[in-house]
Amino acid sequence: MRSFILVVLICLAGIMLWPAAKEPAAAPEIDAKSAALLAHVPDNAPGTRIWYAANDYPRLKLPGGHEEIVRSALNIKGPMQFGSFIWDEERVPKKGPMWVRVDLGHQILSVFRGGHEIGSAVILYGTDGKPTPTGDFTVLQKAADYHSHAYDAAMPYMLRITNDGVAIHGSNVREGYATHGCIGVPPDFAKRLFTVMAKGDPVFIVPASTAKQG
Amino acid sequence: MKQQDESPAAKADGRRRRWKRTLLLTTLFVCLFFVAVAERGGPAISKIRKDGIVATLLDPLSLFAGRSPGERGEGALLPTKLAKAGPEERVLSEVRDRDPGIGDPPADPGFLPDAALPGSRAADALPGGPAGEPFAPFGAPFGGPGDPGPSFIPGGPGGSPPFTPPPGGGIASGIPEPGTWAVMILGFFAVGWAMRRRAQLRPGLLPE
Repeated sequence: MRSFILVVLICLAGIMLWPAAKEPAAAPEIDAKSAALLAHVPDNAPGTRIWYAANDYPRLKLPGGHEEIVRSALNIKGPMQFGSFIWDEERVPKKGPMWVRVDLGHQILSVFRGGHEIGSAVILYGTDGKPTPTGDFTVLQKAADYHSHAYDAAMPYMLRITNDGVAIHGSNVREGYATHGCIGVPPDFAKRLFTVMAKGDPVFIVPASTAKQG
Repeated sequence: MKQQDESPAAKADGRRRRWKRTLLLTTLFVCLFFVAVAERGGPAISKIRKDGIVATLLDPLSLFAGRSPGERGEGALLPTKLAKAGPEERVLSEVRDRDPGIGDPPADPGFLPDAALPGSRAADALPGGPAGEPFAPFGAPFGGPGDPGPSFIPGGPGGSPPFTPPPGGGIASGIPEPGTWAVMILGFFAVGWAMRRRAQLRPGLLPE
């Protein structure tokens, strides 16, 4: 009986050793390698922004057959919290064509200026009963202090993108909540987005299923 | 007799010991093999994985996926704002537009005692009485059909809700009753006793 317990213990130790021996070898070298890859890009500040090589800009496929190049992206480590956002327009051109990519599957919105990502936030989107439309849209109307008639609710820094009332606006972004089709972003983020976006700027909303594949 | 049995018993004992040793060694070797594979194969595996990660690291889509809080769950979602207020529904349990003299036919004769029938208006709006005696008010205030007393008694402080479940109704309690507990504990004792008995009997079962 005692030897049986011993055998079981040894087996358990072996099982536990197996992943333990495998995992730590992989982890530390990845960062070193990626840092080395990124080091050739001039003026690269790790942790804040990933700069792409000028001859090898990635192209983002967007709804409606659009394609946009990405010159740099925010280097956000780990998943973002609901209600949090990153805004960083340091060291990127002050002018350039604006566009927004909304990824419903990942619940993430990214703002680009001249191919540089300047902001990203966790979003809320429509329920299955009132889904957020997907595709390519443009900003139709801007209203900093908008009050919805349909819902009798404040929608600060509203950027309307459809004629039937779907908009990007400030909202209390919390987990487990959804909108009636609008895209809710944290109010501070909405304010910044409102400032940089103009009427006619494109907004691409990627459906959840495509985002899963991509 | 003992000496005759000793050599086969010793043999069996030796066999058992050898078997145990083999099993132990096999397990050890298997474990060692796994560790060796992990040590030697680990860097190779990690290199492949590393290259894959580095290749996808710079892809903007993987960056978006990495910062995502995940997909939205399947559970119930709360709306951030309520729909514009329309006409509100009100529950008016105590308002009746029927003639109080007629009275409602009992929905469940088994539930409503006959005594309550003449004043059955009050049966729907069960008056609040002391908790624990939901049927006490029926007897006292509604003595008979000619009772001139009020047909409706408002709930007193700490009154019971308008609906009282029938006593002994079909609502099963989640907690086992004492009898169930007792039988279960008895069962445990029985199992324990049987196990002890088997343990005591075991030497006797061996042939000679």
